[in-house]
Amino acid sequence: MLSRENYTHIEKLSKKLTDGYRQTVSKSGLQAYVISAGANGALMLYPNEIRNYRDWLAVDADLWRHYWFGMVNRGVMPQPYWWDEQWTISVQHTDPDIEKHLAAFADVAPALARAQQERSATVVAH
Amino acid sequence: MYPDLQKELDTFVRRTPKSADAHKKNLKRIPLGVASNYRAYDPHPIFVKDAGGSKFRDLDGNEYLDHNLCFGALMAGHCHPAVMKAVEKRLSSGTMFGMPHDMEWELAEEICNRFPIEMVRFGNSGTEATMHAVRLARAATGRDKIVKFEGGYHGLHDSALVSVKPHAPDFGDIHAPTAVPGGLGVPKGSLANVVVATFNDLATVERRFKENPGEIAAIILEPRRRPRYDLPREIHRWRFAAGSFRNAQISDGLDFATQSLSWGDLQHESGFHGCGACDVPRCAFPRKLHTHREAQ
Repeated sequence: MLSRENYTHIEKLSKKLTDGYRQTVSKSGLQAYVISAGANGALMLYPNEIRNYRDWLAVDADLWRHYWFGMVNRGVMPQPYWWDEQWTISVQHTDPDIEKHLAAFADVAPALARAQQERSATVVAH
Repeated sequence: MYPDLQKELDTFVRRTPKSADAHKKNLKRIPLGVASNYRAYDPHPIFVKDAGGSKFRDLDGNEYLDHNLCFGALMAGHCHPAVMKAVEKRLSSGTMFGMPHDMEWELAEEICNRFPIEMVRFGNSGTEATMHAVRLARAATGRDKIVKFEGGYHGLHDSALVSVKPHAPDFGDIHAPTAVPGGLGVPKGSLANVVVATFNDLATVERRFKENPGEIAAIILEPRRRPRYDLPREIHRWRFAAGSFRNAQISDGLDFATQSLSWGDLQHESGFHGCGACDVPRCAFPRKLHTHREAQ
């Protein structure tokens, strides 16, 4: 089952998902980046590249919870709970699945961007 | 908590009352109400009713597109026809024997064909796989210490449950992180045998070898610290790192290799080796490998 053909299928879906995320991140003004490797990937709600565990501690956990619960409420379990996890794409995922995932993210992203800007402004003000 | 987050949480609670009830019931008999701590979160975890293909349903009948997939173990998705067929076939002829069975050879052969390894010891979980790998390294080298990276998760045994998610000020200097138990019950003796390095900082690894000459049996790491701390474009850096680890070991008189684990099968059909992120010879694969042979 985990044949070359199926890995190719997953790579194609992974590219579609990460490209779609990047477009939405750019369009929404969210300070974030998307990383992927094979069947896995993740949205990093942080403006700078995370290089190690201590970098990762700076990620805004509430903003991530906003993302996760927002996606779940729209019928997409984007990844396991906890912000050090990542999504997995299976051999049974399809193009329409990825489109549904991206539509949910496009719906959530503006509120995330707004919350991120407000929270950053609050931090600066203090 | 800010208003938009509260709004999503309220929606979640409204959509999942049966999961909330099931969680309350579980709490009476099961710690945190879940079978693994990582499945617990507030206000309550989603309880699954059933699944198929790329989706699952919760107890309230809500359907979800599933990218959890059992923390990545289900790259085949749910109830794949080939898996169903293979499992159904075996159910009528026995599944556990406590004795050898010739299907073990079939799977070992498939794994050895996919990965540059020569022999396989099967385990039941990632924890068991890395526990065996660490013990093997210690047995082969006669040394007790291992190097692990701060923030790395390699299972729940005493040698692995160290500096998984430590906090300040316990974790000390980033250039020489302190070994912090990942929970109560990790013996001090186990902590003393785990030296911690910083991911993406080879100098901290070299420092550990200098500080512990002739004492380190293995390095345990994910060549990519999940997608979270690494990027595909850094593969070459890790190839360099793996080579440097070998040099460090050689200079330390260590000819048994490092090892590591994990979700390499999710990256490439030949794992981390196949995508060039790893060139070390001992690996632990805590995932279930569903191969094309299941369909045969």
